[in-house]
Amino acid sequence: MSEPSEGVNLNDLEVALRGLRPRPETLDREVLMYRAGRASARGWGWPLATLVSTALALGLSVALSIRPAPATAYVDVKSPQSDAVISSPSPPFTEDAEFGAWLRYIHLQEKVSLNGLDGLPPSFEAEEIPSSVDSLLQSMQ
Amino acid sequence: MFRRFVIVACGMIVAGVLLAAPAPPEGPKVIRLAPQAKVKEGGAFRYRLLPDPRDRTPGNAAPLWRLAGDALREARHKITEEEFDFSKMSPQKLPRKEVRILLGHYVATLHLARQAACRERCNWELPPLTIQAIQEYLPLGMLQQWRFLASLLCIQYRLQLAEGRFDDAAETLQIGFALSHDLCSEGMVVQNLVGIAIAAIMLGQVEEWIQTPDSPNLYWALSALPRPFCDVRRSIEHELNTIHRSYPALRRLRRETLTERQAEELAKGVFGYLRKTADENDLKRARQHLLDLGRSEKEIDAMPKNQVLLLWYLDEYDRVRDDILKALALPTWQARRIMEAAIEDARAKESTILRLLLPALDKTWMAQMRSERDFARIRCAEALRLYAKSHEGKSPAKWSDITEVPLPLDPLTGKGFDDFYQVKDGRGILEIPTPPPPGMPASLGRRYELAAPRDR
Repeated sequence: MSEPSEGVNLNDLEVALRGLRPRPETLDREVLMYRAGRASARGWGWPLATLVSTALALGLSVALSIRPAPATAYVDVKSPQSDAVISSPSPPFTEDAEFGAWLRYIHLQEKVSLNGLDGLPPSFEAEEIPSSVDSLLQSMQ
Repeated sequence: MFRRFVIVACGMIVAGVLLAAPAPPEGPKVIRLAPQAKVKEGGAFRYRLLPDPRDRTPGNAAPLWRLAGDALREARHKITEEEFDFSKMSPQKLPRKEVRILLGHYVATLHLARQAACRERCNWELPPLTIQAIQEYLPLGMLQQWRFLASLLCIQYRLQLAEGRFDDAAETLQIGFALSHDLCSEGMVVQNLVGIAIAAIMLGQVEEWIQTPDSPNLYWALSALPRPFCDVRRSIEHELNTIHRSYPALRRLRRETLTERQAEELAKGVFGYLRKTADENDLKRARQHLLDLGRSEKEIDAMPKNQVLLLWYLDEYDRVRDDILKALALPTWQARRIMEAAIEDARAKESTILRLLLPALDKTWMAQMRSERDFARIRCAEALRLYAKSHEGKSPAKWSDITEVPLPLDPLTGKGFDDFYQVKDGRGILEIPTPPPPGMPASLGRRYELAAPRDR
């Protein structure tokens, strides 16, 4: 450690330092901590998300209110009497492979006639078996 | 900050309104007719849509179609979704190099298909369809392959069109139309429906042709095709006779009196298959029906009850079947009324088998009707192009001004297409509405537009 130079009077320094008084506190610690926390959280993300959601909701509400009413669709509903073909409901034909195959073929014809080439299944076995004659007739109305 | 918020909010509101606005109503597909080739085309039949009779070879096409389907299925390359989309891409946008590579994988398929198309006849030699044996030989796998073949032909066709090779493009169309025609020549209704769908795909390719500048005219090529091109008469009759083929004993019913046991077994077979239980009311109606036909009480009493029931059931069925066959024997515009009445009559009957068969047969016949109309309207478009070519690009003032070729008739009405033609801003427009039945998509209609001379 170097020796102090002769020109420096340490006592004077000590006296000068003792003469210093603490300044009154001008910084509010609570405010400082608050501002620091707020500054660290500032960003555009959440405010922007709020803005966008609010505007979208408003836009869709306006669109919904000015949308024209849907067109009325008339559906022919046959009376129950005209549907009755068989006096008793037909049993399912899980046990009759030939008849099931024939009805599967009828169902396939209906699908292809409605949907064209898109109605073709990959194989006959992939074609679903209608659960009963009645259900097949209903699906073809 | 607040001002910015208001601006952005208004923008979002406008975006929301635009997004939520109802889509414009779908309309007919617009086809802009391109000017025809100026050079002479080497005869009215230089371009054909079925192979030239001079190129035909003896033999049956069916085995070759099956071989082409096998070759397609066994090809090492499996076509991807992206490649599949080439069949719908505009010829100008087609990536030609990729398409050539793709077609290189299917040389055998296309070669076999060409050979099949050139055969003189097609006999699928399918066993007669019966209820008992339907699952033994339904050619679904093959139908799927031919569907892919149609797409492959479209891809090849579009490449040829893009390169201006009209001769090759016409040959490709010949294969597609030959496949369609052969699928409709006989066989099952399902097969016919696939044939009609392939014909529609090919006609879509013809519409690309007529939109290609300097494309030759196909009026006579279209006119030379058989009419109806997709004739479903044989397959519908075949389907309607399924019950007779399945139970040959039914044909003896009117001539003989069966024994109790024979009648019981036959009824068990027919009604058992149809899951129908007959009651006393049915028997009364059956007896009355036979009395109305002129049979005596004594004769009816001598028959087993099951035979009486079967005769009534069969007579109802055959009557509707005959009405449908009458309609099929007539041109479409005469047949429509008869067919619609027959279908309505059948719906009112209690015959389960009719109610099962008829919806698909009705739709099949309507599909044929739409197909006929499609062919007729494209002939009209070509007639319009012919007129424009001989009148320096001008459109006819009215439809009957076209005298270069005989004008097609509308198969639905038996009359001309005059009411569908108009001139607007110097452009001839033939707008043909969506075909029946009601509810078909508007995009099935067509609007053929001939550009004004100043626009060409």
